[in-house]
Amino acid sequence: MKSIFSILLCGWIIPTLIASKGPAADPHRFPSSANHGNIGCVACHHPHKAGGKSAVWETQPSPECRLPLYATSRTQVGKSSLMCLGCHDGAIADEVPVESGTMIVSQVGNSRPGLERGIGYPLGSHPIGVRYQLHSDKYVARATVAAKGFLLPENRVECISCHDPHGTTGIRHLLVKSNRRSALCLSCHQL
Amino acid sequence: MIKKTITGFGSWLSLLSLPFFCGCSAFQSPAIREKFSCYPPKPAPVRVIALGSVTGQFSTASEPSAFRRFVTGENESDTRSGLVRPLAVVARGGELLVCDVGLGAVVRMDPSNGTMKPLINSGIPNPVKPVALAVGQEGNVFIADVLSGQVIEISADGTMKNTFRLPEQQGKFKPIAVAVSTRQMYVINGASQSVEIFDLTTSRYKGRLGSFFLPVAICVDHEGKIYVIDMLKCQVQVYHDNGRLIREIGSPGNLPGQFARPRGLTVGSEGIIYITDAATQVVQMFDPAGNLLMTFGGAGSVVGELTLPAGICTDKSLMNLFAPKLPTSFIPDYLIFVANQFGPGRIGVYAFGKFRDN
Repeated sequence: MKSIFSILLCGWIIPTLIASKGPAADPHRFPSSANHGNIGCVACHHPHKAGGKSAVWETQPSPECRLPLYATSRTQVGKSSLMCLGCHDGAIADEVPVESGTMIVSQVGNSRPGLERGIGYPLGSHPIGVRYQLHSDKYVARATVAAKGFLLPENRVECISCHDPHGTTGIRHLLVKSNRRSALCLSCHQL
Repeated sequence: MIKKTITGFGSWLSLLSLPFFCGCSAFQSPAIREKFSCYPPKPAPVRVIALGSVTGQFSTASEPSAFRRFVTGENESDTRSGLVRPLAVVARGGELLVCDVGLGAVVRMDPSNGTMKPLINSGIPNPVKPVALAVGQEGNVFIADVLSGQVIEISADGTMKNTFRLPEQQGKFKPIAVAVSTRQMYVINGASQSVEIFDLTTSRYKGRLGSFFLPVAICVDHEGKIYVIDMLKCQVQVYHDNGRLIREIGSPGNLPGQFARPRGLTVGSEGIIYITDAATQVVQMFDPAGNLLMTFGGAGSVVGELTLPAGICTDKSLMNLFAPKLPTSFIPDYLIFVANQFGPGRIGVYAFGKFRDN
């Protein structure tokens, strides 16, 4: 019951209330300049330029040895979400809420699935980095979800599962699909 | 009631019981490198040793009742504890001040007696959403409150001393980082991607510094030079206190000396510049001329590794507490504290120095 209420609240009632405000400008459209080109891409797309420096106090690694980007472990959120969280910290960009107890990001090892906890989560939030439930009648089959174009990196629900950072859909909050009448939620959750 | 824990404290004590560390040819000793996370990698002499991490923990004395759990959906493990998402850390007179956006507060952590307290005395309005802080010469703390659009100055006794706002004609004020020199305060305004300057004596607005695409962190060294991270340019820009650009450090990329997503910085004694990178999850050290000295950290969850590092600071006031955890042949100059936004140890602790026989 909590699950149904939560889906309706987050996916239908609230979006309907705010829908009248219209689409927002792409928040990921950073400035560009004649001198630096489309510099905004650098926020997420890191160029593989030469020009590494030899460290004065180090004998290794060599200046051409690249440092891994957004390296993560299986106990944390995925690489793509770590990239989002790097800016969405409340200072640079809107904060992704992180609760130490009500697992949003930190308790990834805990296998609480999706919206099963219902209203226990802060309103409008969704756990990130949780494993997609493969053998549960509460969820749409993974193959079906993937066929619809939803991304589940390493079979986990990450930020990019619901958001398109390039905003190609033009939908508010960079959603990959409109959530009118909980359509986005119901792409994975079965009532 | 708040109490503090030190992650890995037990392992530090066990390290102290290893007498063979004393007087050995330390930086070449495999035992040292096996027991400590040492940087840079061998065969280079050790400059930085990871000591573990410091975190805080709120008391769980008031567990939610069964009724509350039924109403809210909480369970026993939902009680919020410890630091959640620290963005900034600054040392002040034997304690750490941590700005935690997850808690929505600035807390004082005292590693010597295990206490963790709110910075601001009760009865004073707290910042709505503090995201950064700096400490002035007299121990006053300057807190950037991104939601209320002001910088709040808290005196050493925890009372509010002053607030700084941008004149209306200058537009919206969204302070996301702050630094103070002896005479001026520099604030990164996230609304206009600029650095605003205030006079500390008169509290008056004085103008802007430099030109940036996405400035995210700022600090001032003991000479008054200003260091600003421009995240989109993947550079640190160094300014004279008269506003003249002195130097640009770094370029986009993930090779040594480059930055992918620089997030925090500080300047230690001897002018060494420490810059955290949230993408490569390392700290890179540069000399005052902008030459790369070394790198430490790296992604992971073991001692010394980092998870989305943000703020960083150096300190000598806590040396007496942490020095006994080091090999006796290591001579520490100062400590380095790094705020991790996630991971098992929220505030990583390192010692910078050298072995006697280096």
